[in-house]
Amino acid sequence: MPYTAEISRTNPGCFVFLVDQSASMSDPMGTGEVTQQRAKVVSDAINRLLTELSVKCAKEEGVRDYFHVAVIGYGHNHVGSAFQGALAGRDLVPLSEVANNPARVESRTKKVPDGAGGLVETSVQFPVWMDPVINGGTPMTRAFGYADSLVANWVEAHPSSFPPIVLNLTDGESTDGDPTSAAIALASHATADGAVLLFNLHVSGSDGTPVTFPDSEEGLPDTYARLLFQMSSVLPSHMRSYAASQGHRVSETTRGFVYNADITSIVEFLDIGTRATELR
Amino acid sequence: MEDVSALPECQLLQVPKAGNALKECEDAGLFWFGDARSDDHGRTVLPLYAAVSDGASESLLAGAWAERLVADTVESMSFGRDWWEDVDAFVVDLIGRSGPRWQAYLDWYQAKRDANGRPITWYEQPGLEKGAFATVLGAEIRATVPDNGRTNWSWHAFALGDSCLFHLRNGVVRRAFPFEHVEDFGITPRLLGSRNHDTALVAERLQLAHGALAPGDEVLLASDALAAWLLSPHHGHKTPGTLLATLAEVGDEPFTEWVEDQRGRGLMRNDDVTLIRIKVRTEA
Repeated sequence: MPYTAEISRTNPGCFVFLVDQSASMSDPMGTGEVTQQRAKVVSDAINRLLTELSVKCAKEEGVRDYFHVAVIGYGHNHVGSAFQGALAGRDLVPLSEVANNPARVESRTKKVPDGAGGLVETSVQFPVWMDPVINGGTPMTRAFGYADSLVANWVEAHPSSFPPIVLNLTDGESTDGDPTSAAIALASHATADGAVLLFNLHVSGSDGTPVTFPDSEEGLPDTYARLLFQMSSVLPSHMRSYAASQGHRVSETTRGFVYNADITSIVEFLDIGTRATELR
Repeated sequence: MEDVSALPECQLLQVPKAGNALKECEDAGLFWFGDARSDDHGRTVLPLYAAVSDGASESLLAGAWAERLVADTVESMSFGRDWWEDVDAFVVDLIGRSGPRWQAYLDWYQAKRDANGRPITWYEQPGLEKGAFATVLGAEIRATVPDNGRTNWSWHAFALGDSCLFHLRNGVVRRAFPFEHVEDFGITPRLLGSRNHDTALVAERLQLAHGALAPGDEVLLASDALAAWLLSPHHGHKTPGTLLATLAEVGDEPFTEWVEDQRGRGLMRNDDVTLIRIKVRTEA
């Protein structure tokens, strides 16, 4: 049965995050007075996810290399690593190195229950690996091509691992041609456990309602949304079950796709799309 | 007053997950022969205490917490005499031992990390704050020796989570506790957290069981992967206990090889395996 490989240090998993850095990512998202730049929301969500992965894989001797991770930015004149600091320029990096090399650790405030029914502000450490970058167009086809070469090498080195998961976060249409062929090529790489999973998230450009994990094109508003849907892989069973447990309606054809994502659905997309089978 | 022939045979076997070293095993197992004493009826009582704990892999220091729990479980059972008769007092005693000892261990661990130039990092801090989690299964095998007459054998056990006890006769499972079916094994078993000091809640969640034993009977305490194997109808052995006994009696290595073989054939989950095997001696 595909997508059931155990994730261990000898058979690690692989995540490639593709982050749109086009000019429109500087537009705000959110409602009312609480708005944030899209690029900032996405980079915060990825930094938070890398933090959670590191915490989840931390053992007494350090963070275990259950995953290899790449964060690739794509904008007008650059497709490549979005890591900053010591990892700048690196593509797929074992998780222990990710955990030990954030560009910086910020101190942020968070509200937590005070034990008496109220909330109190406390300071938490927030590691940062990537900052928001804004840079011209949306070369999605090149980004898929870049991811293609990363996963091609990776599956060759890890033929029995859970296949790589590529998570593409974008707010606009590709500016370097129809990315469909590149997406098909990318998702055609496979390990013995199944083909590469490509999940797509479209960040909201309006106050529209998010469409989360649809199982058909019905209800998608335009050609672009349908294109992203068609390029998105069907969720494997353990992610489907997890999505259902988080209150999503799922079927056997549910895809790893979110359209018109708001801040909450960006976090959900990353949480569900990186949900691992058991770690060993 | 002690009759050594009444003591059961006991053995502890452990195999870490494939890909892990034995020191990375997050299960713990312990058995201890208690002192002979007289019960309220003046009969000699010979107790054997055993405990298995399975540390939750996604918590930090889970193996150390499991070690703490088996040691304190054995101690609490031995101090509690008929501990199963007042489970609330038993839990208060157990958590009263584990809580302060665990805090002392954490203080020592953090000081050691500082001294080694490896202070606790941002990615460990949330795990330490959340605490460590583990299942716990404790059992007392008791021989009661009247002045004139045959020794009576019994077992009393408590369980929190999916580590299981099996009572075997002639290699066949007569009783499984707390789970009776392989379908009972979920991915989120009940666990005892190192920060859980709610003794009433823990007492409410503890399950108790007991039974009588005959000479030659075996009691197995097993962590979940092996327990699920024992309850699985697919293992193809009508007398799984005989198979385990044959392997265990030869020693650690054949048992390890057998576990690896079962994992390789998809008949056992790749998880830490702990087995305590207790055999009631056949009287001459």
